[in-house]
Amino acid sequence: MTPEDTGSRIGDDWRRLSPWSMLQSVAKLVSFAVPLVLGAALASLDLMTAAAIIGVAALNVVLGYLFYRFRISDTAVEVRQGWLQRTHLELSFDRIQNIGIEEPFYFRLLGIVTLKIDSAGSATEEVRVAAIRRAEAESIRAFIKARRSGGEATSNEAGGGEATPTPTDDAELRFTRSLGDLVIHGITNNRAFIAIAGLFGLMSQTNLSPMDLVRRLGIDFDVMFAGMSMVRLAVLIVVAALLSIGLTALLSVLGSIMAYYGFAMYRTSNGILVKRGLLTRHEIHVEKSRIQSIALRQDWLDLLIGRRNVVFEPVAHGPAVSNPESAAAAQGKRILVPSVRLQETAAVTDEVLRVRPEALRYTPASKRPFYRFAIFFSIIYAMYAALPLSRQAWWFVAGVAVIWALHTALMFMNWKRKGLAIDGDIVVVRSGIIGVNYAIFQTVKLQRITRVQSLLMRRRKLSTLVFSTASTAARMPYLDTRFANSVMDYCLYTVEAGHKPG
Amino acid sequence: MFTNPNVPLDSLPAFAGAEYHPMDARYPRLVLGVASAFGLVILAVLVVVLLVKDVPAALRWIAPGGVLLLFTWISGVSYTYARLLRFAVREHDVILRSGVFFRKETVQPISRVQHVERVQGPLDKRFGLAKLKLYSAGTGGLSFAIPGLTEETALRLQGFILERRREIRDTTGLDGIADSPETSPG
Repeated sequence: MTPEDTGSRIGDDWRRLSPWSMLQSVAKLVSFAVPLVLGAALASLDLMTAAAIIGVAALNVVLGYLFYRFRISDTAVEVRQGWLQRTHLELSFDRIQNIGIEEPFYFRLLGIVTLKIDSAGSATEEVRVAAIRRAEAESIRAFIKARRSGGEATSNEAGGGEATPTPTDDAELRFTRSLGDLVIHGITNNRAFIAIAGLFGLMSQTNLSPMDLVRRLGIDFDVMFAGMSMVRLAVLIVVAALLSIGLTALLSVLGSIMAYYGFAMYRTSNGILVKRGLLTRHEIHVEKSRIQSIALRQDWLDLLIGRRNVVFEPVAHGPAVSNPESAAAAQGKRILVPSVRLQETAAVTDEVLRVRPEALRYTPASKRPFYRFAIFFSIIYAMYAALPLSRQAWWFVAGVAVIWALHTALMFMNWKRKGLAIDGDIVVVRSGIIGVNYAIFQTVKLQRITRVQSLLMRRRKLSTLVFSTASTAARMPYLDTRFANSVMDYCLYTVEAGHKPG
Repeated sequence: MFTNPNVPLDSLPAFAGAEYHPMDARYPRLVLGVASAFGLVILAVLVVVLLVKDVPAALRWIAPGGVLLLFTWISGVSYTYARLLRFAVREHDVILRSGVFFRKETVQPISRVQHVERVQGPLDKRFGLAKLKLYSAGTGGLSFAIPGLTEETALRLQGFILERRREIRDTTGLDGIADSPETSPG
């Protein structure tokens, strides 16, 4: 297979990236250099040192480009890179988890994109082919897809330019989010970290603490607060708190719009395709079978307005992440469908798995541990209330009482939310304190099951079950041991009897 | 095609009824030896420091006493942990039971094992022991480690797991993440 007869250059030859690929590295470099120079100016660092660091980084960009080669054979994607340490990565098609297309704003005018290929292996096994034409990225994606499903397609068919069916061509639009939805998402979920990620980088890179900044700007709190009455100080604190909440909310809305602008979910022949993003457009295509679990997450604000996030979770690398909306989602490994109305949930989840978590009957956690904890904490609060201080101050006792009531209520709700439902081959674990969360997966996706019992739980014949899939671990505490055992035996039976998903 | 057959729960093989094996008899003693040796070294260093430095008389007794108590406790718990550790091997899975205060039973289906690693530290080698590590896919890929096996058992178990996995995958056509591209009609 040679480049000439395909038009698009899928073939066995080793290729260099377009020089434009350096743009992406330069963009990263700028986001790193600007704070460095700023910091140098503010913290009276040596400007020459800063310039030298930037120079070395720039050299690294150029060398990185010069030493990068990739090729797409009939069975694998291969990358050779690195100038200090040469690495050769060979990622065979059957180990690919998902293929994404990334389009930063500075690539858009040039009509080029970055192709991202994720594997089932470690996080380092990720291939990024930067700055290729969109049509070419699409044809590579189609080629790999065709190879994976049966492999009857030859590279000639797949690489044949415009005639090639791409995931976008046969995709059917299923779900979108409007700007209003994203504003709501920004308010109910803290997405400020997306907007201020750069800012944090600045602070950490320059040893510049917020107090240094305040001092440099000539603000002297001692002078400001001297002679201020308690009332004025209190008002000032409240105003400052409100302002910071407002600012965080604003940043969060901004972050939400940046990450999820123009959110659209498509159904493809074998999976889902999601497009999102304002400055950088992300396109992620995941096969249905690659999704290990679905998480429905709801914060307390979500509960008030009847919304939730739906998260499709593929194989996760590294240490267990308890919150599926955290950094991993921002990186685009997990597919987060933001602020879905409760009645829309089924339409979204049906694309992957037919499940109605609200309609299921849940086995609750045993009441006994809840009572035990409630009594234990009540005694501690009572001891606080009995402190000598409380004889003079009724408000102290009242305060302790309020906190006790709140704590007990939250503990009760947390217990009440816990539940396990098994419907055919689907396991649902319900949890949450105010909002309701669900972890949903097929039994065949289980990697292992663990049963945990403390000494006391053993006496009470209670067990905690931990279900581990390749994407998440769901914990269901305080089940009757006999029930827990039969759940375990049933799950193991479905996994080990070789039932296929579907 | 979606099917939803009834499963007679009572007739399922019960993991609780598996035949559990203890570790090699030398293993708990080895654990106890290592823990006590470690504690004694710390204690010796502490005593030397207390003799050389000028410290209050009370501390001279309390500090070594505290350290001694702490390491006696740690050694005792480690020894008991090793004594109570059990493993079971069935046709389709490997089970590890562990814990002194919290009893943990982890069942690892063999079809989900990604790879098996046999590890031998210098002390293991001296005593002819080995540790078997089982890895599965995704988050926290290390499922569990079975320590305190004799070299021979470790080797046989490793072979068995790999052989069984091949057989299972051949008959079911599934890979470890249950996501081979041909499956899932939707």
